[in-house]
Amino acid sequence: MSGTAAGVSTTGLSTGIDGFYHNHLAGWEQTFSLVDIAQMYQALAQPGHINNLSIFTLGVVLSDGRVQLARISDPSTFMSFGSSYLGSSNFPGFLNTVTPLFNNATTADQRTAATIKAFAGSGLTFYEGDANSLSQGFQRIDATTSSALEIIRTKCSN
Amino acid sequence: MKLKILSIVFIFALFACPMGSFAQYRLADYEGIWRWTSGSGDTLLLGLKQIPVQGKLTGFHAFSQRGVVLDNSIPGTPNRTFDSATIYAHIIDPAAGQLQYVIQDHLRNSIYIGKIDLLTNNRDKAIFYTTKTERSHLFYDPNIPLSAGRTFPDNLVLVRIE
Repeated sequence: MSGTAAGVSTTGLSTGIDGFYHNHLAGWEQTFSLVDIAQMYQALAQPGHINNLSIFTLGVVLSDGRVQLARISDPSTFMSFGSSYLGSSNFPGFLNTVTPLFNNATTADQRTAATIKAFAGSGLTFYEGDANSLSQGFQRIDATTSSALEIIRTKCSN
Repeated sequence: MKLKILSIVFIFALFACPMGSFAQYRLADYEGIWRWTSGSGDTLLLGLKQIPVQGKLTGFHAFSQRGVVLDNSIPGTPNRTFDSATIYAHIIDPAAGQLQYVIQDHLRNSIYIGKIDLLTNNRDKAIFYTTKTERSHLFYDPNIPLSAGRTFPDNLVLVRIE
């Protein structure tokens, strides 16, 4: 893939890939941008672009040292969700629907929780680790089912 | 007797109160074609219409810079660059007349989330501003997006022309 000042284009990708990682600098969204996930669907969920959907991970390294991963844990559900909400023509409508989740989200954890809630039922699973102590491993992160924007962290066993 | 008089005064006052005091803005208040012009040939057009049943608005936009069309999704117009809706919006504060919108900027692979506030003294004018920008750094489209800034300006006064 070739990188440009605008980002990375998957056009002309000659072989499948297993993951895509990028960073969000200070002042940027301190979790995945919703459009990151949509572009993962639009750019990568194309025939031949991903070697194996069920092991592919999208990663973002955040300015405070956290690393977040999104794994397609249920490929068929993700493709169905993507077809309904993440295509270039229907994503703005999806964004308009889920944006209210972010209206009161100010902290990094609250914005992460809002993002996870936005993708409820998408077939994605989210994880988080600390780039400064990767030996501590990653934790699965879920949003609580209450209206409060809170995260439940579950230590990965292996 | 005093109680009767007070009750009559209260009921009279209630009916005398102008209904406008309780006005709630509706989606219909935002429908139409809205335009901003810079005075030097830059023009932004937004077309908004209701989506039946859903309680939302959808629409199209076009931006031209010094007469050159850069981004245009408005059906039936020349130099169209995108062929489906580029705006979705819903009212977030019916009393204040505040609309929250999502609009795409195709040239920069970005989406802006923001608000349109109707002016209280003139519902054919509105303030258009962005509160959040979503920009992806991964893209599939072979047309590489422009890298910085935004295609059309922010913090604009829109005027309804239709």
